[in-house]
Parts: sequence; C-alpha cells; structure tokens
Amino acid sequence: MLEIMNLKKYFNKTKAVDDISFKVEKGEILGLLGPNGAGKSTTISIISTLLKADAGKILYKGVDIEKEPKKIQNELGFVPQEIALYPSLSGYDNLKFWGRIYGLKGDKLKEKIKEVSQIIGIDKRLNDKVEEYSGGMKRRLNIGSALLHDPEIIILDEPTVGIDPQSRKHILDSVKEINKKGSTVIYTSHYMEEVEYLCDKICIMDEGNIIAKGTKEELIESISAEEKIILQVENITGKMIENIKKIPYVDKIAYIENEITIKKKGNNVDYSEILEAVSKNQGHLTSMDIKKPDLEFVFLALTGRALRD
Amino acid sequence: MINIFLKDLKLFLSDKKTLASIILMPIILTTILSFALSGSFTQAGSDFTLNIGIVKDYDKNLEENKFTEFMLDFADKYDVDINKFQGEENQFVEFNPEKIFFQDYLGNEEIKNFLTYEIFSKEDGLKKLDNKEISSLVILPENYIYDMYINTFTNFRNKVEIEIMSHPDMNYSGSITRELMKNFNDIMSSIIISKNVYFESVSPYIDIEKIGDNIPEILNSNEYKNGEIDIEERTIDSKNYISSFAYYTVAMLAMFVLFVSSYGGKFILDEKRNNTFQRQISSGKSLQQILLGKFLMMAVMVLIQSSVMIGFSKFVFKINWINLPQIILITILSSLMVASLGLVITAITLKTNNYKVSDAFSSGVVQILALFGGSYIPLEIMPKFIGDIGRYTPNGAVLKAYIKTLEGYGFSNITGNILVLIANIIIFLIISILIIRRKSDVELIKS
Ligand SMILES: Nc1ncnc2c1ncn2[C@@H]1O[C@H](COP(=O)(O)OP(=O)(O)OP(=O)(O)O)[C@@H](O)[C@H]1O
Ligand SMILES: [Mg+2]
Repeated sequence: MLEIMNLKKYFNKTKAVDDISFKVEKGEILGLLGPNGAGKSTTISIISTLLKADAGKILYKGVDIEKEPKKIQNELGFVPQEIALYPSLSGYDNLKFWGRIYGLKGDKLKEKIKEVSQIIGIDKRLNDKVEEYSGGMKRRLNIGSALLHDPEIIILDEPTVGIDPQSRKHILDSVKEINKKGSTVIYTSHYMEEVEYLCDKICIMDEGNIIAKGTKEELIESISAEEKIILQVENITGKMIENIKKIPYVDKIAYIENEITIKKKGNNVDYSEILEAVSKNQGHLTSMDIKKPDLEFVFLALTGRALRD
Repeated sequence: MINIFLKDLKLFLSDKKTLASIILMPIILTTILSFALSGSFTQAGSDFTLNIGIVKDYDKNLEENKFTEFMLDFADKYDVDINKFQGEENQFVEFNPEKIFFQDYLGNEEIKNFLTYEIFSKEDGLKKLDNKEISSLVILPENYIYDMYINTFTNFRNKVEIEIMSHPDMNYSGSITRELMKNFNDIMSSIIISKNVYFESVSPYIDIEKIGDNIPEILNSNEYKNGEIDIEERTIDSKNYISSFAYYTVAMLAMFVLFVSSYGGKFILDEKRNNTFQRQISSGKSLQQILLGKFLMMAVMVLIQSSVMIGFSKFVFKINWINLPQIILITILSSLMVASLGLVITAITLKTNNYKVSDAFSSGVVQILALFGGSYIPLEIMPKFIGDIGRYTPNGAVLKAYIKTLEGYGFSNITGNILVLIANIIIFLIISILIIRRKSDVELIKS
C-alpha cells in the first residue's frame, strides 16, 4: 500500500533521514520506533506531503506522492506530534472544521462527529473550548480530528506523549479499534511497550537510519538475544561500570540514573560476580531483575545505548 | 476554502478582546474626539456659516492722498501727463483695494454663502474673538491701501501682511479663514505679476504715459473680474458642511479598518504555532486557499466594522449617510484595500515567521498612516506636504471619498480617491504574490 524507497532528507548538515526504505501493507499497524531526533517525524512529514524529500521516492497505492499528492492527502488521516487544534474554538467546532476540510458536510458530518467523539471519549465536553481541556483530552481530540473521514491510512506521530497511563491505554485501544475497522496505521513512538502492544511490524530508527525491521519476534530473534539483567543501584560510578564490563559473560552494558542494564552472552552464568563488582565499588544494590528480551533490549543490542537516555 | 474562511471568521468573532478593540474602540474614540473637538466644527449640516471680524488698521483717505502724491512726484520726475492721475475718471478710482477685498472678494457669491463679516475696532474684535462670537479676526494693516496701490501700479514691492487671529477652540474655522486670505493673496499676486511682466517687457518700447491706459485691461484679463474665485475643493462647500461627528466617525473608521489588516498575519502565525497550518497543508489544502481564507476574513471584518460604525453614527449622532450606493462602493473598496494590505503583512509574517511584523504594523504603521491620512487632524489644516502624501495613503483616500460623499459630491468627484484605492489594492496584491512565490517547504511548515 505504501512503499518508501531510499528516502533522504537533510537539514543543512543534520542527516534527519538518511536513505531509508520500508513497506507498509494494507491493514497492518507499522511501528516506527526510535529515540528523540531519530528522524521519525521527518519521515512522517514527508509521507504526509508536508516536506519534500531530498532524494528517494514514496509510492502510495503505486502512485508517486510527490507527483500526485492529492491521492494520499485525501485518504490520509494525519495526527501530528504537536497538538494541532484551534484552542479558542470548541471541540465540536474543531471537529466540524477538520471534517469539512476532508469534504464532509451536513448530516454525514454530524454523524461522524458524534461517532468519533464517542471513540475518543470527549462527547460530554464537546461544547467546551479546547483551551479548557486537559492535556489528555487535547491529545484525544487531536487524534479524533484525523479520523472523521474514515481514512484508509492513519499516521500517528507519538500521540501519547505526556499523558497519564489511563488515557494512554484508551488511545492505544482506540488505535487498535480503528485498525480493526480497516485502516492501515503507521505509529511512531519511543515507548517500547506501546509498539510491542500495537504493532504487527516494527522499524527501529536511529540517527536517520533504519537499523532493524521486522516483526517483534523477528527482531528479537535477529540479535539472538537472551535475557537481560537490570540492577537498581544507588551511587553508580564509572569504576563500577568498568568492573562489570570486564566480567567475561557481560556483552553490553548501559545505565541511566540508578539503573544498570546488562546484556549477557552464554548460559548458566554466576551472577555473584556482578554483585561483587557493585559492592566492591561501594554501590548499594536495591534490586536485581532478570528479564526476557524485549525491543528495548534489541535497541540496546543494536546501538549500545538505551532507547531513552 | 469557504470552510477556512468561516473558521477564521469564527475565530475572530470568538475573541472578545480583539472584537472590542476593532469595533468598540473606534466607537468610543469617535464619541470622545467628536465632543472634544466639536468647537472647531459647526454642527449644523447645510447651513454652515463662518463669522469673522475685520479690523481696518489703515486710514483710507490719508493713504490715497499719499499715493497720489507719490505718483505726482513720480510723474514730475519722468515727465508724465499728470492729468491721467487726477480728475474724475482716472483709473485709480477703478482700482480700489478696499472694494476688491470687501465687495469683489468677500462679496463674491460663493463666499457670501458661508461667510459673514463685521467690521470692528481692534479692541472690540479681540473681545468678540475671546467670547467666540466670531471665529477669526482679520486685521488689514496700516498702509494697506497705500501698499496695494504701490504694488499694483508701480514696480515697487511693498510687503502687505494681513494678520489672522483665531480662537484655539475654533481651529477649523481659523484654518478656513487663513485659506481664504491666502487665496485672496494669490489672486492679488497674480494680478501684480501679470502687471509687472507688462511693465518690464513692454516699457522700453512704448511711451511711459501710455502705461496707465493699459492697466485696466490687464486687470480685466484676470480671473477675479469674472467672479471666478475658486477656493479649490477644500472642505468648504456650499452644499453640505459636515459636522465633527461625521468627520471623526469617518476618520476613525478609515483608521480602524487598518487594524484589521494585521490579523491575517497574526492568524496564520497562530496556525503555524498551533500546527493547524501544517495539518491543513497535509490534508491537501494549498497555501493559496489558506491565504484566500484570511483575505476574505479580513474583508468581511472590515465590512462588519464599517456597517457597525455607520449604523452607530446614524442612530446615535444622527449622521445622514446620503448617497448609499456610493457609500457602499467606498466601503467595499476599503475592505478590499485592507484585505490586500493584510495579505502583504500575512506574507511577510509567513516569511519572517514571527509576530513582530503584524505587531509593528498595528502599533506603529497604522498610527502613522492615520496621521498622514487625516484621521486625527483634518488634512486641510496640516502642512501642505502631509496633505499631499495623505492623498495617496489608502486610508486618506477612503476618508476623503467618504467625506466628499457626505458633503454631497457625486461619483465624478471621488474618482481620484477611488483610483488611489484601486492602485493601492493592485500594488498590495502584487507585493504579496511576489513575497509568497518563493517559499521552500521547510520554511513553510516551520512552527
Ligand atoms: N525543520 C528542521 N530544521 C532543521 N533541523 C531539523 C528540522 N526538523 C528536524 N530537524 C532535525 O532532524 C533530526 C530528526 O528530527 P525528527 O523530528 O524527525 O526526530 P524524531 O524522531 O521525530 O524525534 P522526537 O522523538 O523527538 O520527535 C533532528 O536532529 C532534528 O534536529
Ligand atoms: Mg518527532
């Protein structure tokens, strides 16, 4: 349905998107996972015709979107990363405006506004001004505004940034529901859990490149990863990290604040060596967790960095 | 596109503060200004009269004799037939400075319609002026008669200084009186100049005694004899004289419509900042459509604003908006003018990506335009160069066109202003197209 080929976009020296290719099939949810500045929004801006690529091509249903932007524009629901609403208008007026932008009118428009506002759960506050909404409600309305015209393809750019877990859950479930109704979805995030929960296929981006893609299982498989060890340690020191790194079965190590994440190689290892290294360096261990590999782990394996640092 | 426009209009109308500053402010200001400055206008519509006092500081007989003596002396020296200057039918009787001023000039039909004068002694005149019984006092100086004769019949040039005193509260009337005196002076100068040219170019070739014969002819050739004293357009008009309420309603309207022009820029930047601009682009709306929405929004706002002001002044100040079709035409042109000016600001705002342009415009440029366009002080009483510039400012043209219409002039008298407006609209549109044309996508969606 959507084919991205050798896409490039540079801002002066910043290689925001540096030669990436991927495909999105009809009906699937594709996740674009990557840390801040990975190039997710840039990629999405090009797909939604806001930016022109420096090189490469995007085909939507076989049509080059640069040559025929209308084709994708009419069938696309775009939820930008930033909230894109008129704060001084009511929720209803916002939905009405965006609906009309996509050519809806009359009874059909009213019907869709009712339907969508129920999906996103703001039907009771529809007549209030958007500036009076909570952050989560704005986020949901931001999404709702892209759903009115039953888009064939929906692109959501980090739609859950800065909202509470409950609203997040609501949003994720709404996305699933929309997908079930037949829309193809591209979902970007730097939250692993979201992508794992939602997506059929995942592209991991870093510094303008796609460093891995596939289903969640494929990705984990690809790094032949095993479990990882997570330590909560107060007063982590550089020396401590050095010592842990020297332990033979430690493959990779990363840390943020009080948390050390270790990827090990080989089985049947003796964890006491790690504990020793911590206590030797006056570290105070508060917990130790051994986890099955997940996407965060994949990212760590591929880049040597934690996804959020 | 209609959708975009309706949304912009709704945004505008939902903003109470903006609405107050665009619609309420001009009404309040008009009311204040009109009351504060009503002394400088007479309020009645068509029966406007200017009542001035005149002081004769000269001594007619003494000065006439003085001149005759001068001429006799002159004739003696140059051997001219002195009979020409004496007796019943000498030409000097015909040229009578007093008669020219009072009868021919002030007594002229056009002027008589709105001006009455009384002759006072200096003290009485000043007292009347103080009491606002007259709006100005014109003082014809000592030697007025003598100097006029000298200037007219000899090569000598004596300066004649007519003094005009006005009551500060009756500023406007004072300025009209000054204009009248200036006009009189212009006429006299043209007579004197044509006479002098005659003296200088012809005198070597003809007998000096014959010069006197020709002077009446020269005087005849001048326009003032034909009773064609023209006071230009000015604000003085024998049909309708407009009140301060009407003037300031129109002046405030011409100024406040300009404020609307800063909102296109402000709105589009708001949209970029709250990302709705980018969202519209991604949904396939073109920049042109979005801009057209702003253009229409501004035009309609001006129409609303103008209708409210006109309606308000009609019912509250009882201003008679005659010639409605012409008023509507001017209002529509003014709305297009503001909208296209707004488009320029929108384009610059889009280019610079910051609010400074529209802010600077609404706080600075509008004030300057308002001053030059006559919104604070009528152009007629401002220095000439300001008036000249003012004529070509868009708001100045709007103001003039409204005023003339209210004064009862028909379409042919406002075509100049209409053309200035149309020229402004075209220039603004061209400038905005030039600015908008070259924009990269990155610049465009940067928020
Ligand atoms: N308009 C722009 N001008 C210059 N540089 C830009 C512009 N937009 C993005 N960049 C740069 O391109 C890189 C990729 O940015 P992008 O917004 O695509 O990242 P992202 O993956 O969406 O990050 P985030 O998770 O923070 O939203 C960054 O280094 C960013 O600074
Ligand atoms: Mg982003």
